[in-house]
Amino acid sequence: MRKMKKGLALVLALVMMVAMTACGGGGDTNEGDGEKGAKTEGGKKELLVWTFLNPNDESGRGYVLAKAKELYESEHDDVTVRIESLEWDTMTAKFFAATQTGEAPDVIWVNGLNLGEAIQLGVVEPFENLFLKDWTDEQFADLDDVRFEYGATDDAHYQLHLSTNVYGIVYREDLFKEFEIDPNFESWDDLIAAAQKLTYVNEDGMQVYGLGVGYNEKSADSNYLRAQLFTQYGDVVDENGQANWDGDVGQAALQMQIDMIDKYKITPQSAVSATSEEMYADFIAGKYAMVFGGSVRIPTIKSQCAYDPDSVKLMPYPSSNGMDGKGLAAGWNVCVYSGSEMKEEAGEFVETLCCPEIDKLWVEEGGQIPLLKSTVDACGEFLSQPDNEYLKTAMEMLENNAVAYNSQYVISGYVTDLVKSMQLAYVEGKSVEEALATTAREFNERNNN
Amino acid sequence: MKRRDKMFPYLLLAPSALVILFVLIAPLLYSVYCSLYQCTYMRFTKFVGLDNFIKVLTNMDYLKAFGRTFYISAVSLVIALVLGVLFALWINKYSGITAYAIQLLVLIPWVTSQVVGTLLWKWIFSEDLGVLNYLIKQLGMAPLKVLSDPNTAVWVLIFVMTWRIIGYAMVQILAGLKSIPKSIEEAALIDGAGKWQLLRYVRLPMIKTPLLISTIILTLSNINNLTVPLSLTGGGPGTATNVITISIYRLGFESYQFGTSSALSIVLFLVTLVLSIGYVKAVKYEV
Repeated sequence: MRKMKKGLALVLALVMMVAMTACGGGGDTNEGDGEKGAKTEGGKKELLVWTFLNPNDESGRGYVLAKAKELYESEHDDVTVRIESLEWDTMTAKFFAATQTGEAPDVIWVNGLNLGEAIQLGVVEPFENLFLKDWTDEQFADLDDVRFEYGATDDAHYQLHLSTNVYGIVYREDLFKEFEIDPNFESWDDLIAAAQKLTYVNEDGMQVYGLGVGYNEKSADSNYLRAQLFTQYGDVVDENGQANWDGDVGQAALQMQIDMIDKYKITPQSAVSATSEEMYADFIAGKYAMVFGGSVRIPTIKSQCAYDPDSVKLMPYPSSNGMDGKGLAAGWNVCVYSGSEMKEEAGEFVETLCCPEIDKLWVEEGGQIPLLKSTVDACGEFLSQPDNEYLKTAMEMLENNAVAYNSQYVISGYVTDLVKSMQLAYVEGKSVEEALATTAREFNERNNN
Repeated sequence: MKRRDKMFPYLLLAPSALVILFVLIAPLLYSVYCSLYQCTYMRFTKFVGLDNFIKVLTNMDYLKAFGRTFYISAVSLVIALVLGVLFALWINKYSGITAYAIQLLVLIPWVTSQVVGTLLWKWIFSEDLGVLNYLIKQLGMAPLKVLSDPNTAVWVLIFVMTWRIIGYAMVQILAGLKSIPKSIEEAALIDGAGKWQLLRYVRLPMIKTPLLISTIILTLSNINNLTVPLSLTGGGPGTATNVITISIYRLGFESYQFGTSSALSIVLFLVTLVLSIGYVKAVKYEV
């Protein structure tokens, strides 16, 4: 019997080894089948890129990425770019895990919320050590703005900001005209007064609300509280990395969110169970006249709405306490892995992604805000078309009404904390002070700043 | 028996044993390993022993989430089993195409994608653009706020979870009813048993095994279900439907605290293990 058990153990071990070997390869490879960093059959080195974009699909951004790869390979005879498309929501966590096992890619799209962690962990390489060291002041000035400065210190820039999403108020100009409302609000009071006018039952019998938002923790996004934090503090954490929303500004903002439902009735009670995705879907269906939203959503809204797509516009947040309204400029950060054996090549690929030729494509094919100031002139005709007016607005907002995350501290989960504050105060019946203090404490304990 | 012959059964078992090893045992052991470390973004920074377990077991939010999970799962299970028995008794009267059609109809929710089924109900219950409130408004009544009211949202979640599992309970119980020999039921009827006595003393004892199996499987299915609560309510409004799987998901995939989320997963695993053993012991079922 003992011999039989030994035999079985041997068989199991052998089968396990075979199985493990078989499981070892694979992944979400979209193209290419060589190993990372290894010489391929043609004697070329392979540069591994992790992104959520797919160069083989029909999307505009996927097309531009494919073009960038083509351009890079035409300029680098000895390198093949292998692009792996991963799920966006787990990609950054996978990257952090992969840095532990030596399987990390050479180039990675890092979620904007996690760049701070990436820098603190030392897994991303400053561009100054790569292509930036050869750039002229003019080249640098052409790229430099609030996005490029995100995460930067005096002598280190870590990321190239793609898929920029500038937050503000997305609204329907046709309804504003119908109700004779001027969208250039000077204050939130003006916006709320307009939203009250825009809360009505339309000719189809549908209840339209003036201002839409989603407070479901499952998929949280922008709201009045966050807008106030960025406008009045420019951040969601203080100088020590502690949550800043449990002070006076946060308390007044949370009370206002409650008043928007109960007092002003410009937001429906159902907002407490609606996700941001549902809010956008409801805006498309005509339920809202205005929503807290981001610029990258506008092409989809335009393509799906039943009303005139040209009436979908974007505006910055109104002023608060004499300060210009500020929204978040979020996006994806293209970084080079600091442990890569092909850092130079990886840096050159990032450089290709922001070269004038590709930047023009990002705008015209990918529907993105240009990275380079010089691209604005190059795409002048495209940007002047009515369909693309939102891009011009987003560019102006980026210049005047946008802030980027603070990358000095870990801020993971803060968006959920902000909407949880609303849930605690509005649904659970806690006071606004208690609700905000609870989520601020959870944030501080969790992120250990 | 030759040695080769003795080895043969084990060789046949080896593929299944390997699948179980890789799909169940290895991830479980890895979770135990993660739960003993401070593990953020899959970086094992510090061995913390049982600290993660103490942290989750002393956190009132997680304990409340456990309580909520058991309440929602138990209510859903009881309703599903009662209705499953009633449906099975009803269908048992029919045969041929009618029986097949009814079985198929009731089983559809179990085989439908959970996300698709849940989003369908979410759309029906949507307050401003949903079908339910549209019909209610057509009747001249005030629309219902089912998903934004914490009291009703819990019952909507229970309803959708019950809707999903009822078909499985029914099919299991129906199979048990079909396996009861006609002679036993006829003997009971000859002895003067009424319909209630036939059910109470003959049918129910003889479908004990399918009932037990349904209870175990559906309990585990409900307690471990993330898809339905996450897709339907996302744990809200407030914390009304925040079941323990949502807490585990958020800890792991939103805060990337894999150490703490693994500890919470292990606690959930142990609880479900104890529950399963308890069920088997309670009905004196020999495994």
